[in-house]
Amino acid sequence: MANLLQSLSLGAGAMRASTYGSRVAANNIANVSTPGYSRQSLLQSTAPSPLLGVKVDGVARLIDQSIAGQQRAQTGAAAGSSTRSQYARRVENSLDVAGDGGIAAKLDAMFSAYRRLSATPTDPATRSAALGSVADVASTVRNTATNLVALQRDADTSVVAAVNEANAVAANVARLNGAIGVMGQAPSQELAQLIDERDVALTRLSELVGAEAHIDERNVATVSIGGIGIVIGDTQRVLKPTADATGLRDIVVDAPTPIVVNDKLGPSVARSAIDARDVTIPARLAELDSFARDFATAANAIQSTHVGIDGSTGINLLTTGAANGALTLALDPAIAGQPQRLATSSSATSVGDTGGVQAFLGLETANVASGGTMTLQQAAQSSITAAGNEAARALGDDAVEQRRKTQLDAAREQVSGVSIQDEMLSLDRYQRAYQAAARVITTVDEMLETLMRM
Amino acid sequence: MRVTEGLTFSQMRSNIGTAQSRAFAATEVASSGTRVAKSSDDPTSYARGMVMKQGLARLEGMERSGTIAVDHLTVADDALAASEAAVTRAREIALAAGNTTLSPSDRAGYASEVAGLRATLLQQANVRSGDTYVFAGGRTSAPAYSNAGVYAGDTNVRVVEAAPGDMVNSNVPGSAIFTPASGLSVFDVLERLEANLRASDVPAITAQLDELDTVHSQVTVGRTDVGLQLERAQLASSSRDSVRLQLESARGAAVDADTASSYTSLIQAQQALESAIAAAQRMMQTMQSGLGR
Repeated sequence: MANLLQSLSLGAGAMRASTYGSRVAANNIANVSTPGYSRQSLLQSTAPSPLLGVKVDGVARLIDQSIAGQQRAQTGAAAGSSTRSQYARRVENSLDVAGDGGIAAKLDAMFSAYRRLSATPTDPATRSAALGSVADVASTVRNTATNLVALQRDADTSVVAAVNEANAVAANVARLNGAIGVMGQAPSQELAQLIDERDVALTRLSELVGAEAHIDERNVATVSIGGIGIVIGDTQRVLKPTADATGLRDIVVDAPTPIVVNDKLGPSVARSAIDARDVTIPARLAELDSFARDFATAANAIQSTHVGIDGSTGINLLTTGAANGALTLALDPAIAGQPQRLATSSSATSVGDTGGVQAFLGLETANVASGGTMTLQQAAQSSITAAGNEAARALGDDAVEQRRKTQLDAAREQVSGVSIQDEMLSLDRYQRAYQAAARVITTVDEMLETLMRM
Repeated sequence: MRVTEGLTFSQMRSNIGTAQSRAFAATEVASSGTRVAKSSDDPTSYARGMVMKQGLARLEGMERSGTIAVDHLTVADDALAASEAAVTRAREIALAAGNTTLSPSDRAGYASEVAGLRATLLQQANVRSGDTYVFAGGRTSAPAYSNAGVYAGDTNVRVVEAAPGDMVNSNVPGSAIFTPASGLSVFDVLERLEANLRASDVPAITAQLDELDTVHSQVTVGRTDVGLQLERAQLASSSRDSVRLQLESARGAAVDADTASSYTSLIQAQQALESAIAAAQRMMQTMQSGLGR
């Protein structure tokens, strides 16, 4: 009698385990496309003697921590390389909007206009076209510089946006750390869900600011940037965007004294935006400034020492500010709108000759840019080539980083991803087990009934 | 290897995405005919293409100025041909008027013709190409000579680069032809001839034959000079064409797509895309039939 009753208990336990198993499989199927979800597996074992039967130990979250850590870091690297390639392409586009050579093409047009001027130096329309071509170069330089400055501000805004989102995500990580700590280490679906949610947040932190995460044996994550903790347990240190002297924002952590962590960020959106803002774009702007000053100096040297057809001399062709030369390059007010002042003649006694035009055309082959090492066209082209090289490198690097990420995503998916086929088989198995356990109970029930009739 | 639905979908998406990107790039190359549209496509080739483009732009500038030079020199050459004919006719008249059998009224008739020839010469010396007075030196916006035959231009010569390294004078100042400092004023000579004809002063008329030879020589030398410059400016055109061909060829090699290979690449990319989509569809069918069991 006692054995039969024990069998009833075993059957009931088996039915409970099968029900739990079905629930786990159903949950896996429900989350088949949930980002960051790690498939779960029912942990069950033989119940100890004298009861025997099956007991449910909990729900395991199937994950390889090593792969997960690599995937997290790689997600940051891929986001960083993608951001870097986007900025590199935008810098290239700023310098060469139509793919026609940008400033270099405008210089070609300017020299072409001057060539025409060499044949008809006194023709008002030709003079006006030549002066207009110089203004066109100046405005292209100005517009290019303006676009680059706007791009720099855009990168700065991206940094702040990434930092603000990172603070919100870090706060969530701290909250989840606290909840995970409270739940302890007993494996359960609720704990698995919290850890999944926390890991998704850690991945996002890696994408945004390149934060590194260390997960201890209690499943609590410590998040740091360059060794400076920003989430420790359930405590968060806020990242503060702080304007520097130029108005661009540094990322500062109060740890406990304020530390600028710009150069401590790992590969990420913010790091790439900072690099674009502080390195790539300023380099191109410096080249443009240098070009603007060299162009103005060389053109003014010719304009001021030659004579216009109205006899004017000693005036400049271009003006530029002391700093940010590219942003201020423009026709000198003394000549703007007055093509008769364009110094095309050699001297006051030979007004009408083309000495000034020929001298200006000499700029086409003279090394007057980049410290006397390049022509104006070479300097303009050099910037585009530098930007093109950077964009090509960035695109190549991005392709590699995205492939690595795809490989690591696949590796994680192999371990933690949900296979509907597997889960259907599990459901089938648990259903069979449930039916068998029910059959045990029915059989025992019949046996008990037989016994009771005796 | 454990294959999940997520892995399968991810792989399908990645394969189709890659095939789509390649097909897009191949379409762009095939439709535009350009292999290198941006510096980042191939920085070295793009830079080389830009250098060639710069050379082509220079050639275009040379073509413009060279064409203007040809126009001006052609007008000048025609004007000097007419001037040469006028001076020749004046010499013929001087020779004919020296005949003692002619009456004063005959010589008066010649005088009127010489006055007309002088007017023709003045007209030719003030000839224009477009808005440019071609014999006025650098002062191209005003007539080179006054009615009195006084030069109002200057001695400036406009030099243009008609082809790479080929500098051509696009004008010859009228002062070097019609009124040279070391020669005679063609207008004064004809004015004196007209006066001598009206005065029926045969010795004076005969004495002017040397002057007429001198001014004829001036005009002929001037025309030869203009002709030489015109020939150089015209020859520069073929030189430009030759350089243009080289530059366009080099630029094409640097940045243009090879039509045959770009079309082949496009077909390959389209086939790869169709294969990726077909494979994905088959995989979807397999997964659906697996779920249906």
